[in-house]
Amino acid sequence: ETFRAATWNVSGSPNDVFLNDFADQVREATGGEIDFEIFPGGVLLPADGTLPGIASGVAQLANITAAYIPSDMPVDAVTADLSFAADDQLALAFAKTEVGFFNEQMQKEIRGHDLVFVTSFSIGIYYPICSFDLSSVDDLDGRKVRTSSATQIEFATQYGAVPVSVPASEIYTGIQRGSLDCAFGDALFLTDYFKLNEVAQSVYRLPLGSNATGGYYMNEDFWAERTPEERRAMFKALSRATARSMIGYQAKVDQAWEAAEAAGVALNEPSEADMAALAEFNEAFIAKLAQSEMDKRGIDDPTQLIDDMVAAMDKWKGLLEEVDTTDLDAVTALLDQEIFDRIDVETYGLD
Amino acid sequence: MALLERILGVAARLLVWAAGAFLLAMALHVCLDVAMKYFLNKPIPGTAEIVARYYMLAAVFLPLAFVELRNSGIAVDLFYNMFAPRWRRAMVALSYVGQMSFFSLLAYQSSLDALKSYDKQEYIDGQIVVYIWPATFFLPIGLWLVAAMSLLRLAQTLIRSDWEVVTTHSVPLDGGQTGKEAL
Amino acid sequence: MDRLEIGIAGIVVALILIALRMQVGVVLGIVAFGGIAAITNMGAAWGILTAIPANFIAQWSLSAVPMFLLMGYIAAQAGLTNGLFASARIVLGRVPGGLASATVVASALFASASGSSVATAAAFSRIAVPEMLKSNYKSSLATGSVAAAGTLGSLIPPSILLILYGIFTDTSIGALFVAGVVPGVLSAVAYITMITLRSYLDPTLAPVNDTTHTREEKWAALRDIWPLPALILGVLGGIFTGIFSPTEAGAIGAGLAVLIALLRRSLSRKAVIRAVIETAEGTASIFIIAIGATMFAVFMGLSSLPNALSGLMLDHVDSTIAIIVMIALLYVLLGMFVDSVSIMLLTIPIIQPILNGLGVDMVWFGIIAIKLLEIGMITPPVGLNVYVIRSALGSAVSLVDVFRGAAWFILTDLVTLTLLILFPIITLFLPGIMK
Ligand code: NA
Ligand code: NA
Repeated sequence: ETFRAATWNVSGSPNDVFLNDFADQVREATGGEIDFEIFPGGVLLPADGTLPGIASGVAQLANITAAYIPSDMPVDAVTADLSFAADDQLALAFAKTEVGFFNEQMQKEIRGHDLVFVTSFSIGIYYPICSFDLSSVDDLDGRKVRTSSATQIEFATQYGAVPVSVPASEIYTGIQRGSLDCAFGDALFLTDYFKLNEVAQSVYRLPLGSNATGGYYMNEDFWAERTPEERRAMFKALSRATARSMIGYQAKVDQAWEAAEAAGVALNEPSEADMAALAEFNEAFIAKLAQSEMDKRGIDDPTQLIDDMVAAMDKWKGLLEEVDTTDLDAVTALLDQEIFDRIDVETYGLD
Repeated sequence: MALLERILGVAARLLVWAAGAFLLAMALHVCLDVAMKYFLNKPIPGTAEIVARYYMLAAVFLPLAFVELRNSGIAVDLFYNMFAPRWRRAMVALSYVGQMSFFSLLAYQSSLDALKSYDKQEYIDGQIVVYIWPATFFLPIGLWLVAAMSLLRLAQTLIRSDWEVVTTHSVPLDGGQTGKEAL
Repeated sequence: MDRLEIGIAGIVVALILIALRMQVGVVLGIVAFGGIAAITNMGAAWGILTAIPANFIAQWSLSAVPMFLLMGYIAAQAGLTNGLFASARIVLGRVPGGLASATVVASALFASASGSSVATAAAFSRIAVPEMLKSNYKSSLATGSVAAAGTLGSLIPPSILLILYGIFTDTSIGALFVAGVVPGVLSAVAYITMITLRSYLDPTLAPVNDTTHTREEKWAALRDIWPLPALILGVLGGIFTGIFSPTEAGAIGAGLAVLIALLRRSLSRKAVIRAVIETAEGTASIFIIAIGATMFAVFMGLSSLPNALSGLMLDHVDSTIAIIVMIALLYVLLGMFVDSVSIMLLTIPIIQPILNGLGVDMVWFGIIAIKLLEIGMITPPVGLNVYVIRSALGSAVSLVDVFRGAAWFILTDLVTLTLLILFPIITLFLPGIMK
């Protein structure tokens, strides 16, 4: 039977590659019983319409960007906010995956939408990418910056930065013409996403967190109608595809930095003072996060979730130090051992 | 029916006035934001979100019934005049059936969506938190009214002998009687 | 029926309903709804109704369209266009089609800065078309030139479509920007040549103005020449110096129009109200089509018709020229119903490997592709630029006239395209130097 997998990210994006990889593996593992067709580029579902799209069966599998729908996924939004404190993309992605499966508050939110969480991912670590030579946060004073989260704004405005709203399609020309001085973005902003290598002058490698706001979800009925063996086969494929996707992302990030240097974009290392200021900011930020999330989003106390997420990020950083993070088998084995093999396919997502 | 025509007409005008107010607000809000950003380095937070979620939704969905009141919805009239009046009447009736169905579908779904949005007190979380649930009601309001307007036009097409006058495009607002009346 | 057949049936039904004079947006939406339900299931079709209308409209970047409409209406209501066009009539009165040519230049400039075809059509339909009609230009020529000139905006940098293409195909945006200049200018020159020739051969199209003007008349016209150039230069200058972004430019343009009108004391409260109400009416009628078209693009994607069509047309061709001709045909066909960005998203993944296999220069192809995609903005049955003009002018012009007028520009574009295809150097010369 043929099913539909969708992503609002364009064809060839890490999400599209992930879905194709998953589809190929599942097709093979099930002898063609489960056959996914991929619809990238939002041709099936727009970014903020993905949740109802999966729930109603427009697609059986898709990635949801929770940041666009915070009132549908306020609990997920907490982990997104928390990811400002992350500085390791892989650890963040895998921690988010683990917490998505095992944290009760997360599961309750997801199941409330008739969705089944199946894995997660993360975009890279954000840095200020600027049209001038930025080498200290103090240079942000009076500069117009495009940010991606409230916490980035909070951090940057401390130094006098002016947050502006620029549509994604205008980042390139904004940097080119000066209606924008900096865009906070990951390495792929320089290449695959926005080609800022052509117009930016510098990247200040002060890690301003990430945006762990993505996850892959399946339609509840689709999931329930599969046999336990099929669900196990899908988990096997998900685990491997998740590993391959994040390893691939990591490689792309490395290539992007090389391309940036080749294009003459200065990669400025952060000063110790700025790193210390950031660490201090992060500590205070995490300490008050649970309360501010309850005030802002009207959710139950997320202290447990925040603790789980912080612990998982630390754990994964440690685990990943022990393996070669370009070794697909090794990373897949870790994901199986820590996450996917621990899930009971007889019961998960079926209540 | 005359009463119904009057009521729908008044409602359509009220909504287009509201849409106009939102359009003016959009222009003013963005100009202020640009000025404050340029001169004071202090943009108005949430401008993009408010423009997108409030002004745009109001500007698109609230005037729909007014568009119908003036019969200025966009259709291709290449073949229309080649048909005899009887056929034309059938074509016009079919168009209104189509339009009534489409707008009703949208109206129904958007009503459910607006109620859901209200239930969860929907917000977005950009530079600042912006509550967006009130604006989701622009859709059902505009869409139910245009669906009713289409139903009225369908009835007029079937019942009235001057159906072709009633359903013909009004002249532009800056010339002619109909235009002034429409305001 | 398999989904491919449902896709084809959907197009046929849509064509019939449009021919029966059902509203275009309604046709697209309702056929899409039915088609999506037929291919998937009812729940999915309702899901699309939830996912698309509000989310598609609630975009910051789309706000430029109503704001440029408002700018155009205010400029027209307040008579900001009078002086310039009166002067142009005096100066260009004897040049065949002079006002249309001048409009092409002005709106191409405007489009190049705003980067949006639709926004440009919105701004200029009220500014330029009525003035041309005043000079007894045929409405097809007057509206056709505004509809077509808007399409140059995506070719002349900066351009959102070129940026998307560059990102999507991993081609240098800088190179694409440089490459777009000459073909853009060439297109404008070709338009002007066509306008001049046609008007020369058929003087009823654009009657020459041989009334003699008194010194006072000339002086009066000249004294009032500044408002429209001030408005347009204000908008362009602000975008190019980065004071505001193209998205913000619409609102600034509307604000600037009000300021200039206040300076000239030519704006009544009534005129503002009229401009605002007409903007609301125009915005609703355009965007209901855009919503329908977006739903229709989803339906097309689900039906796999664009893929099948691409496969069918490209599988058995192996020369570069034949491929390009096939792609041209494909894009013009798809462009009848589907918007530029969706076409790109749906076809580039299929086309790019073929082009790479043939060693085709992606900068060159990009310019050709953008030109083809923009033609879709003015082809029937779904040509958004044409609908923008129609909604701005109401029953003053007939839709068929606008499409007919635009057809001459499409023919001209085909000549330009042939040149671009036969002589890649036209496109690649400048980027070559830049390297
Ligand atoms: Na442009
Ligand atoms: Na078209």
